[in-house]
Amino acid sequence: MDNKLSQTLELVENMLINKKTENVESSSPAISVRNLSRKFGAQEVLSNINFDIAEGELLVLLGQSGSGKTTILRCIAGLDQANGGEVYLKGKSATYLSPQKRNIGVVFQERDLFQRMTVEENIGFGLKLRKASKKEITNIVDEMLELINMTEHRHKYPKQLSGGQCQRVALARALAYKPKALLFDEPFSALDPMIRVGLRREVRLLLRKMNVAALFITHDQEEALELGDQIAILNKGHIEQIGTPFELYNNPKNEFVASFLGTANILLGNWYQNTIIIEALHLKPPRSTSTFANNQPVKIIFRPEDVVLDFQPQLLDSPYYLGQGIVKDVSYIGPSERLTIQLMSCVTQIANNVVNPKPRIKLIENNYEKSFPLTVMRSKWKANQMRLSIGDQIVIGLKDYQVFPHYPSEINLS
Amino acid sequence: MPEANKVNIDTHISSLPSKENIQTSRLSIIERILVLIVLLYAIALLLGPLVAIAYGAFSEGINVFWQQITSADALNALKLTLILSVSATLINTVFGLVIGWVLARDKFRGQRIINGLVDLPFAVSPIISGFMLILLFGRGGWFSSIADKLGITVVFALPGMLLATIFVSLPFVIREIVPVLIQVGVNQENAAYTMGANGLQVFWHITLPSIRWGLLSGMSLTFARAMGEFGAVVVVSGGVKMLSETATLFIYRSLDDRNYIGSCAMALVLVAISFSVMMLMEVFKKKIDKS
Repeated sequence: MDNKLSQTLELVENMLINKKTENVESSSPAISVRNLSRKFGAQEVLSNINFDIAEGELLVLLGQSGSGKTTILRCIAGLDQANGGEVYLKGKSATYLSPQKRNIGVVFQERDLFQRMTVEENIGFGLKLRKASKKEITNIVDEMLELINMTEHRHKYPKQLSGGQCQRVALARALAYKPKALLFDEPFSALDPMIRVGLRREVRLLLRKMNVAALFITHDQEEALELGDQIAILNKGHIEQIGTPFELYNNPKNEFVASFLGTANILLGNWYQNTIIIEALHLKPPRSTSTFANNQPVKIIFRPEDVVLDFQPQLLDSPYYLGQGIVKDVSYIGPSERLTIQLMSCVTQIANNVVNPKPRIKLIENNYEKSFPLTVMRSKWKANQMRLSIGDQIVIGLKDYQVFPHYPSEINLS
Repeated sequence: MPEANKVNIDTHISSLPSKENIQTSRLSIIERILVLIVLLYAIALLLGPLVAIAYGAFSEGINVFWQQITSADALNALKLTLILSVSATLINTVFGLVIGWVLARDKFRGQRIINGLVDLPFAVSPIISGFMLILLFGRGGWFSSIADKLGITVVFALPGMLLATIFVSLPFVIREIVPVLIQVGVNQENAAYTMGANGLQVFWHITLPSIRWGLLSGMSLTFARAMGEFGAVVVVSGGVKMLSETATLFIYRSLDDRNYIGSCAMALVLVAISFSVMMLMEVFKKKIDKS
């Protein structure tokens, strides 16, 4: 019969199979981590880490020092061996591959440029290892230098460069050999804040342009919010929540995420018949709240910018009324005004978080205060419209807030 | 305008006869006397013997000096010393690099012990190390049977002398490169690993260049120490002239034989070689400090 027919069928079959494997490869996330765990002696540094980074996506790992983020990076890079779990790069298992076989690029925190090589030798190193021709190396190095705007510095040594320039070269060096993905280990922590901001935007543009997937580690939440397509919040070796910056900021899963990403005011109350009771205050819950058991302790969490202030209750333009308060402190921080307001209703405070100190939840059994400070933020327009100074008596309302169950045995988060 | 004012104020202040000005000039006299004392001390202690050796070497004229230094035993002794020193330096460099690498980069139990053991040659008198070698390789020694099977004579021969020289000059390369390895850090090496380099490539392209000045400094110290070794070699070699006599042993024998010209001549040559190596080391040290 038909040799020709069977041949054609075979050809078509092969084409389909190839298409399938192509699809698998192109549809696989660039980096995949499954159930990663790592122990140092008896201490569990990482437990059950799971996430995917799609092609061209940037995932930020946000957490405090010691939360395990660098360990995750090292496991993905191959510089460290996990005790359990798997690492996949472009769909293929890489858990037991040595770092040189994984074909990824890493930008470390500092001093990772090869000090005895010039800028162009640094950038070309990965290509030299891959035995690329001299011409190819020169072409790619030229291209990279253009991309990072360092063409005139090509013959300089890292010692002669500023911190920001060094990290740019480190980035170019990691990109030059077209790695499967890029890993950044807090690359800007050692730099000047202003340079940091500029550099992070450059990096973002470059990554988008080259469509490279990246994992970015930082403890700076501003950096996380600005850079990440997705952010994973890490707490003591496990992931609290992964989501877009918008999701994480506006729908935090628990108070750790809420207070880590931005400032959070937290009040403690009880749930009773679809109302939240905070001492003398009765709040109706926001629409998205699930129901709790009667008399269950709950926490309400709201952001400084969710607060509305006015001099008279009738003029207060907010769906939730919190109570009366006195302005304790006013400070202008550029585009907005930060106020510390003492809420006068008898409410139990369990935490007040500002951006810098670590989030804390005190043992509420030991801590009843009649009034306590809230952090409130207003735009400069609002601030001009309704000037407030220390000692002013105002009323406080909320635009929105979130409710979480509270478990009374919770202690210090740090 | 402001700049002109600044200059005026500065020159004005420095021209004032203040209490500090008077005191600083008094202090500088004391300082100068102290410096002079130290210089005299250095001159006396260091230059003195040098001058004495040079004087002694040429005391009967250049011809006698030349005759002594080019005599068969002298030349042979020098040759032996150079062979031993160069070999010991090369061997200690290779092993020193490996041991230094392990000490600086790995973490394992007993690391401190090995670290301490590296310094053993400093703690042990060279004569004792020579004696140890005799105990190990001499007749009835623990390793003598192994040496016999391999057909190597250790004691009273070149292998023994080489072992002695290696032992006494062992720590220098390690001591020089370990701090540099630690200071340079693993980040560069890790970056190279992730870029696809294997261990050897990392060592050659990244590590070695970053420790090169420390390494060279260690090597020159090793060489100088090996050149000057006496105690261990005299015990192990037996000092047979023309066969197992190094330069230092030659000097010792010449003194014994009342051949003052000979001993001074050889001493001068040794000092000249060692001194130039030391000067090289100063150049390397400057480069390390700069980086």
